[in-house]
Amino acid sequence: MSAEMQVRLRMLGDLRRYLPVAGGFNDCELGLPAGATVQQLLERVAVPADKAVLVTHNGTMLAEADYRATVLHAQDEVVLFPPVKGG
Amino acid sequence: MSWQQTILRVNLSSGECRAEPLNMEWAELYLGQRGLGSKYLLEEMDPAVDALSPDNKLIFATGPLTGTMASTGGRYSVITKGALTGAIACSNSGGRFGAELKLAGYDLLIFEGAAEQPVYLYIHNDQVELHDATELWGKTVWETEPQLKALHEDPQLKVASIGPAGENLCRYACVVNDLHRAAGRSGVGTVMGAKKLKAIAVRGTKGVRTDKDMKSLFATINRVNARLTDKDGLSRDGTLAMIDVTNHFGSLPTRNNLDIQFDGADKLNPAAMQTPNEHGHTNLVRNSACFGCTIGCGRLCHIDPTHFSVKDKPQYHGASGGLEYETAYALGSACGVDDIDAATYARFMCNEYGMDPISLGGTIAAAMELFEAGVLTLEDTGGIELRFGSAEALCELAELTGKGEGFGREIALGSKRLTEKYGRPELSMSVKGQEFAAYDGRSMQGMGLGYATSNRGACHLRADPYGHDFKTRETPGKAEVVKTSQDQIAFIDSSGLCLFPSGSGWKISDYLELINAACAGDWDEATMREVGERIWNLERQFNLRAGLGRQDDTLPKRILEEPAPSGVAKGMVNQLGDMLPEYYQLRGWDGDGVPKPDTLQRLRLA
Repeated sequence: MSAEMQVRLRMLGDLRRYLPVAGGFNDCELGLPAGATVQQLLERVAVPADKAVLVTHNGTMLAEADYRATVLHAQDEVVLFPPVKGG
Repeated sequence: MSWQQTILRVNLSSGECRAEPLNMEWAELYLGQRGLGSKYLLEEMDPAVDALSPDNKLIFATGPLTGTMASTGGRYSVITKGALTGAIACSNSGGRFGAELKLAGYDLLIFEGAAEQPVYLYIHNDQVELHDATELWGKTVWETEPQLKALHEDPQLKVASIGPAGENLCRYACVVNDLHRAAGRSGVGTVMGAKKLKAIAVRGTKGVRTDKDMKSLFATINRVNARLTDKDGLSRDGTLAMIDVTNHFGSLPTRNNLDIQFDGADKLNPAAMQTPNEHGHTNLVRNSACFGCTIGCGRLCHIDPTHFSVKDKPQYHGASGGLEYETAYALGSACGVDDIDAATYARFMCNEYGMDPISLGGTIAAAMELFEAGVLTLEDTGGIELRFGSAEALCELAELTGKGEGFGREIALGSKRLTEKYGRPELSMSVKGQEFAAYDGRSMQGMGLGYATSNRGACHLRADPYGHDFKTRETPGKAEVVKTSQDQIAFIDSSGLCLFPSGSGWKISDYLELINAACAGDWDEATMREVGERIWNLERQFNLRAGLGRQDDTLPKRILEEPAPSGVAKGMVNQLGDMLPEYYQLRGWDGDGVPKPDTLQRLRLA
């Protein structure tokens, strides 16, 4: 088994219901195999396919095409948020 | 039900109240509520008149699904020439008042003229009476509503009223119904105040009706309502959930749009609202829902009784409508205030005195920038240190503005008139005189176009470019997204239903299924687009005749010339100059933003 690393995951708006492990109000520490990508994180989180999700990695917006190539490191921050309307 | 086919016309100058048949040809062309009310307004008045003159008309309009048990079927709109903007105003509210008006048998109320002394309108089905309101004049919304219920010995009476802000002609006074729901924007309550109409108290007990089969209508309602099953979305966190998204993204207007990310957002967000503070007090009491609504996005909140704003005011220790996303922005980040109790107190002042919290917050934010720039002095403000971040200044000014006292009289002008008066008009974050909603037009380019072209002035509920804007800052395609969504929203706003089901599980086909089950005629997506576009162009015609034009389809210099200071769009300005010509072209308007003859003919507006 590959070594685990912890990344910081925040899930904003109504995505917080899909937090994969217990944590704060809308965030958690998520254990992933060392060298995991953003794509692997999204597969672990398992937001339903019909829900649009946008991703930032350490504060930078990612294009969907970059999810597989973006390798995560320990203590990186990934934020998922929905591109939906508000009040 | 569908249409009641009856309007009630009230001449406040003569005191005559008269029921009339609804123009059903117009109902088929404009559906109801926003569309139908706007049609009556344009047909019956000269848009060039002063909004505060007796020649302005004030229309309360329901939609064909208002009063049904279709989820969110409690909406009504107030349509008039806006006191804040000079443009067409259409402010939409929930609660229970709109459904009650429909159950009393009326699609629309049309007020014309102005009373010499304060009056209120009492409606109990066919019984319609104007009563003297001298004793109510000067009372707050929270005093007026229980007094009318006691006076008429009817706890089920539904009341829409103005508070002292409307009486004092605060430019952004709203009409408040059911104590804390409001037709909030553009100064519709100011027009009501100018007409000396204090309140409308209505009781309706007539049965529902439909142009189609009643059993089939109820079966459709049950089937479509069942598609709104999301219990972890708006019902759990309300619209306030958006604050974490926009703050992270960089589109949360902060300190009068000097910034677009707020370091105090964590103190205003759903976690802050739902987590006990150091005194063990939790701001949120529970969520709340309007008539027939199965979402329940409303927030009933109470203020920590030890907070400076209320520690000597036990009358504010109870619960009322609290912060939603727009109010958390306007009374929070826009003013640089990160104190959730202070922002909630300012919101309570808006509920009680009848003010639009978005325009109040936007105007205080502009005044704070004027003060920090040295344009306003302590002498001007009556000794208030009007600095960004001051919770004390926010609370004091909210109260003074509601009461029409001290420097609150200046804040009551709205940011456009205030900044013009002090020689710095560029500091008003507004379009057509109406303050921005809670999105910045640099990181959300489509929203900037939506603000600039909104017929009622800057507004977040007139276009839906959210998804497109979060995905890209590139401008190609935005004009089409804005135009198409403007038309669709105009249609939904005319139905009697709320916009929020469209983000909670319903598609446009669900709205159409309900309308088809209730109303005569065939309502498909093509009809929806045509009716929506017709309404948009009708509103544009009103504004053109009121003297507005291309020069008003613009954004403040800050959004067009000052680069976004942070966030995903850091360094960008709004590209309105690229988007607006394409938008006009898609609309079938000429280069001056005037609908071409063939456009008007196609939409049966010629």
